[in-house]
Amino acid sequence: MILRSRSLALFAGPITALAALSLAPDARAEGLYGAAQEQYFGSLGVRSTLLRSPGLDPFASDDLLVQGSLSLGRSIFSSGPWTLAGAGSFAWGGRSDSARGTPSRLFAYGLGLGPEVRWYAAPRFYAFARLIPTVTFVTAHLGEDDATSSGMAVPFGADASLGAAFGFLPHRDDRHFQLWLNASLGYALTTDAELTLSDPSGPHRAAALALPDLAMSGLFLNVSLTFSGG
Amino acid sequence: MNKSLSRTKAARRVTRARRTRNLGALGLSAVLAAVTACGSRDAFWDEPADGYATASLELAKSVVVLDEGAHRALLLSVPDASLGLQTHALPVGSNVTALAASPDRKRAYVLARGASERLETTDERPSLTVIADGPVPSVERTYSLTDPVANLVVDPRGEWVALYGADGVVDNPNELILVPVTTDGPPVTKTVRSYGARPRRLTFTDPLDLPGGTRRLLVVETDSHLGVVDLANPSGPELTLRLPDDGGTGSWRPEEVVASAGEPNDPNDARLAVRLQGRSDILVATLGPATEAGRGFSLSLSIADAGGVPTSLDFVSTDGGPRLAALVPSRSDAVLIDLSTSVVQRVALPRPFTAMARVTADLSKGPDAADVALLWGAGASHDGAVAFWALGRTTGKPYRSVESLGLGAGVSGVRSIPGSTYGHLKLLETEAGESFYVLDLDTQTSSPLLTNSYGSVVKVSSDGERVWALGQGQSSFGMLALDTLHPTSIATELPIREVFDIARSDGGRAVIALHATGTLATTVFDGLTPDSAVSTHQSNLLFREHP
Repeated sequence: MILRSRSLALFAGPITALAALSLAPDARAEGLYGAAQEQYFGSLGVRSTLLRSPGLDPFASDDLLVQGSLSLGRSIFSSGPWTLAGAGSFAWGGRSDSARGTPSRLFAYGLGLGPEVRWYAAPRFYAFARLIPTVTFVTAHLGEDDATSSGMAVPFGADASLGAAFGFLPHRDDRHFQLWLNASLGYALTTDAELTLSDPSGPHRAAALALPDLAMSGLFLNVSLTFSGG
Repeated sequence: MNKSLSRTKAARRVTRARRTRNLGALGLSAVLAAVTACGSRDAFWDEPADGYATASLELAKSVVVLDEGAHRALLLSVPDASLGLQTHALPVGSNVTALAASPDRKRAYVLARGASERLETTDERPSLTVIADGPVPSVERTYSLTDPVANLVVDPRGEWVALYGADGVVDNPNELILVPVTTDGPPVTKTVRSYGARPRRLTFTDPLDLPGGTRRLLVVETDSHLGVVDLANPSGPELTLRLPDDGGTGSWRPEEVVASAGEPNDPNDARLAVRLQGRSDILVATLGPATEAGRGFSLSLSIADAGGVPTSLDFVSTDGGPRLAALVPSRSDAVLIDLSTSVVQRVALPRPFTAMARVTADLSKGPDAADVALLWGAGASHDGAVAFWALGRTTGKPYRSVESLGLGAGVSGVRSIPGSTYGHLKLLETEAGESFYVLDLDTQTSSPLLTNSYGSVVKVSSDGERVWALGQGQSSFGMLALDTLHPTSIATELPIREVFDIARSDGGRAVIALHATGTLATTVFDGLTPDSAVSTHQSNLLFREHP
């Protein structure tokens, strides 16, 4: 039952986002700042996540995972200072270190899709909240080039974040694009995923090496530059 | 009205600006908090893993692999016929100086120096860790020591572990720590008398029938004397046997000590015999009634001349009574020393044998009274043979016979086969290690077995059913079943450092081949019917049992 509730919660975000994205433009209500609230947007930035998971330990001497972040989305519905948008996100990046003297590296690709609620304080400033279900594909390698064990883990989860965006360009009614500085702080919560490494070129019937379970959970900070236009 | 509206808008702008600044400050604080809270990983992952230098040890049901970097011992076991490897990690002290198994292989002893510089109360002290083998191995007990110790000697009867060779800033080289490992008793620390020398070797005796009762002794050999510690009262004063000073050229240095309980029911004829380095003299100390108050017995010394430097000695039973036998390879003979009269009788041998062992108890049908000794030797002067020395007496001779058996290779070591099934067999190791022999004591015949590389080492399984042979750096090894002497070759995909034969939890046997890789690897086979095609392999062993 709990699992079902979690699954529903997991898919509620993307479903909402997709449903909202599919709404016809004429179904939208008018926002307080007009076109400034109703735009497509794309952002490119840096996401730093503080991962407390023991699963990161073989691959990093600290808990910080810095990734590039990309998100694309569209505002869907506006009413007064409020806007509902749908956003898809992609984060990529990893760590490399040594585990007990053996080279190790980990790379994580995170995908997410979900709703974003904005509150516009001004045409050039808004605060937002996001709840984005995610799936992360993690590849891990341990060993020298000629004897590397590899494995993959796929934790599922969700990102919840609060942030704000500030528009660089002065607001003009006839301008339909804006460049934003966007910062958000949030928490990523994912399942623990088993991470087992094996060496396909190694001896026959070699047992896989089970490393600590990996969860991509932790506090994260995302700073990005966002371009929006309508 | 317009001015008022402007002021209101201005005020809102200020408020918004403040809000923006506050949000910025909040974000910055979060960043700072995240960076400062960025913890470090468990120290396990930073410790070096050096699988090439890892010490290992075979117990009855487990293999102990020391993971020094992580200050732990990994115990490898095989539960069942699926040949999956089970690992348990147990904490041991850091900077390990000695690793040894109990005679029954149910315990492992790990002696560690602890922290190299102990500056905090939390820094680790030197310690002796006792690991108990079993389906779930555990640390049975840890003895904390005040100063580091370098050497560990295990009592062949498993009752004691003796530690000696202090290794601290201020050393007391004559201090012994006697640990009663089978009881809950505390370790006994005692300083043996020095006379300017320090302990070089410790020997535990079997129970000896002494005045005042049966007891065991610990003989402490130094460069100038012997100390004899009564293990029934280890904290009491030891008896000291000072060795003669050789006219300023130095003391006689003991090379070997053997003990005899003497005749049954005679508490006054137990003896110690001492072979000396580079000397033909053999010292015999008789343990008689005490002559000083507070001591359980006394030592009286006699000296016999073997006529040449002996290389091996032992107490034996002959038809003429107990004797001390010694091999003198420089004269290609042996001597029998009458323990009552110190009369020396010479026995001519066909070759210059350098080592011997009594094998009477290993014969399926032994002689009634007199012993049988196996003689062997190696070196350039030895043309490769063993001999059976029957110590009965025939007319005109102090022994019954010396039967020589040619091998064609010098014998560097003789291994006994545990258990009673094949106890009549001996495994003879050769100098070059390119062959070994299975010697049948009953039939006095030998079976040569050749290996495919020089420097091969052989070991006998602890159940006494098989022999394993392994060439240095080879990625294959061999098994010899002692019932049929049928060899089986087993190949692996990595070079093997060592092979271990252990009992499985399901009653079967497993053989674990340990591969020398940086993080260690193993291949597991069935121990009774090993097959290269039926095995499991485990890499990165030192990553297992991570925190």
